[in-house]
Amino acid sequence: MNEALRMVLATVIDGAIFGATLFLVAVGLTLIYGVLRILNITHGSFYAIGALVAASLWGAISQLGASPYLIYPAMLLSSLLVGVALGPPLERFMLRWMASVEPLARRENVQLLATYAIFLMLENVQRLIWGTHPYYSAGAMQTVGTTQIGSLTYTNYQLLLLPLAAIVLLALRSFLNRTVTGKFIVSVSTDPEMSQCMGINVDRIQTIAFTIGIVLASLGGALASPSINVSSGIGADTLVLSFAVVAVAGLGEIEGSALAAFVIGLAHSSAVFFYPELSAVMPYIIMLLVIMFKPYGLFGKQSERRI
Amino acid sequence: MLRSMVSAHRTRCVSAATNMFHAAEHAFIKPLYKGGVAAPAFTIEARSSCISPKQIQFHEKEERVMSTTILSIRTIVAALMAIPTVAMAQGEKPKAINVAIVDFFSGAGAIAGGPSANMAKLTIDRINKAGGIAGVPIKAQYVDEAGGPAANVAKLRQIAKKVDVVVGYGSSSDCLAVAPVAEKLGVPLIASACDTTELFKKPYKWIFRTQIPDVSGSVAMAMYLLKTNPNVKVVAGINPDYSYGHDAWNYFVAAMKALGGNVEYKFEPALFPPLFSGQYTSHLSRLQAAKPDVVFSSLWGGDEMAALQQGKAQGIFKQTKFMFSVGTLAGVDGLKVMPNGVIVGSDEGYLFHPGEVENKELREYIDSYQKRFNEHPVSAFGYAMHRAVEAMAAGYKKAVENNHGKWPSKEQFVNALVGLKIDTFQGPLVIRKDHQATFTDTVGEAVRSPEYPFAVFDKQIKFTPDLIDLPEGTGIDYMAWIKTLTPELLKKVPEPTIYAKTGK
Repeated sequence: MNEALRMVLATVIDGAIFGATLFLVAVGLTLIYGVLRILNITHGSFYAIGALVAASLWGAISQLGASPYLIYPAMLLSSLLVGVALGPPLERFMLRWMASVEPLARRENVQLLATYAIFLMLENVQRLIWGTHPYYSAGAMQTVGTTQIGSLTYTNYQLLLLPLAAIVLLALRSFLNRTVTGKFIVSVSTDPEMSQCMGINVDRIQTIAFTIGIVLASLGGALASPSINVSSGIGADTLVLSFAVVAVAGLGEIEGSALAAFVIGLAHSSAVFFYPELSAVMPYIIMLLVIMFKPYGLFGKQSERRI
Repeated sequence: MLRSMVSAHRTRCVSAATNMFHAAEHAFIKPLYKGGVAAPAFTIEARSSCISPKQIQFHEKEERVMSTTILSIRTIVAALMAIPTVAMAQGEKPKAINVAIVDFFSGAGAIAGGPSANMAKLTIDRINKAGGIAGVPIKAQYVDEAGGPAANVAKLRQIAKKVDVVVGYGSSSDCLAVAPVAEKLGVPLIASACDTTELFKKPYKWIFRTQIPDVSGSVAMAMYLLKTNPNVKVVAGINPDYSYGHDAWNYFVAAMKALGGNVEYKFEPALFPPLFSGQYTSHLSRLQAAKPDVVFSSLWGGDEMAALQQGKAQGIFKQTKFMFSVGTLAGVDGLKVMPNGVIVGSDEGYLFHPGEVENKELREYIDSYQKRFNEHPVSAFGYAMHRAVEAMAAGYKKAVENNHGKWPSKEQFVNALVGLKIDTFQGPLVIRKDHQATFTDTVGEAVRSPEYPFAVFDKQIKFTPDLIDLPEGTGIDYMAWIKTLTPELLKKVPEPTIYAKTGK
């Protein structure tokens, strides 16, 4: 394989891997925005909590000497548990309560501040539970071996993230299009008031959508955990990147965020390969360019503001 | 070392706006993970020893009383009469030398501060057991460095009157902030671990440093590489994207160019993943695609650990030689996954080697450290604190001798520190006239040895001060100094010591 081809191939694969976990987090963010009209800053916390729980589970599995393959079902289950245990109470007792006591809190900017406050609190909760010592679970990544592509070595674990992200996308889309709850979610995201008039329990649908979003964030964290340095407070970086994905795709766009995550991943890896100095800012340069020319994102539609 | 958290201030052009956000976000929240071991029991003790509001009130009250009485004529007379008494009191031995040990004892930095505090306790206990300094024991209070430069300046002001000397500081930004204040307050300060080249830009009377600036570490790495792998042509870099990472790489590149003479090296790719990103898949693929002869890295702590584990999974250590300039800072856990053959800089700590530890005193330290804290002292932070405390003790001892057995004033103490010579685990340490200490730095190559459950270092080269130390004085241009290095200097570099063969 010649040099140039190898570089391009590596760029695409790395971009896709980077984009895959980013997509899982971003799609949850966009779903929550679509249904609840909240830019959920706490999303980053759930990414971190998902990663910390998964890393702790890996620690427990290694200590007990159990089969390392147990980590995969454990990751999926733990993300589900994190989402179900923390999502509904947060949505019901914090966000909705705030909106009920103070009508102003329905406004997006106030919600943004509120979720940011909760994000900060959750950061400290993470420190309280997991301390400040970083956790490593790279062993989980090594159990499934590697694949050689030319001179490049990829862990199968990371390559498997690509089909997994695709499965999540397809599953989410078919859930939204083919199940009654899914259709209710779409309906509420389109027009909550009209949905309420049609007899849909909007509150319940919002809780469900919020929980799904949180599960996805937590799953993103759990799946990323073997390939990152897991410590309390890691949510901020991913959150900012997820916002970039959502901004590029357009708020509420599910397929759009898949493509945007890939584009941002590709931008990141091309920068690493061809212009390393820009690697950290490349995702934001893409975001800036998109917003300059398409303020509602690549796929977002302009909508009238209700007063 | 937590070197330049000042990074947040000295933003590089490459980092642009988002990076600045991350730097600012992280600079004082979680930047301080350089070690790999925590000292859980320590935090509570350290917190309890921090300044309480009561103490602050006490100081304020004390100051108010002072200012009122100074105005009264009676006090002026009393003060005049008291002058000889004060002078006499200065010669009398105090009950204890009150030392403030400052390091990160809470928050993310506790990982770095842990080994440092452990070593401070061990060293102080040993000195006190041996009768203290001229019969005076050292009494330490542990002050938490967490909170950022402004908080540290406030804490220093509070403790200034209560202590005889301040020892510590891990973060370079904290050092840079407290140094001018300590100077103004006239508090002797021995900086233990911060190694920013900025510290001695101007001369100080009260500030000393027992850590070598980071530029010397990069030069030692370049010398080691050229000595042991003279055929290297292509060197890649993966360094954290903040001022320390850029400095380490730039100094290393400059040293390679200067020491290589006419040899044309290729330095690419130079990768700068964000500090604490911990995700290096793309960067490692990039390095695999580039196939350099060697990769230089100043990643440390959690970042270093993540790079080691991901690199291992991707098999990069089998293809490319790596060098970590501050490789011991991921602690024992980091050394457990450190692949054989990786070149590691000690960061002025101690590199374990195959076979027995030859220094008897160090052996005792290691044993008592293990017994007391249940781990091996591998982190460079611990050794940095050991040096600082030893230098302080030796400084007092020298000052007492200079003062004919009488207890010295603070001024006499700092005067004694200038030109002080002591033996440390890193060889003889000398504090120069510019208040910068010089001693030996070590670089070695990771191997496995049956004596230890982690990587130890063979083929060690000890870089004595004449090889790596900066010219004396303040306001030195470090790049200009590096450019003066010549390939002839490599001839002076000793051959690596092979411990595995000799069994020593």
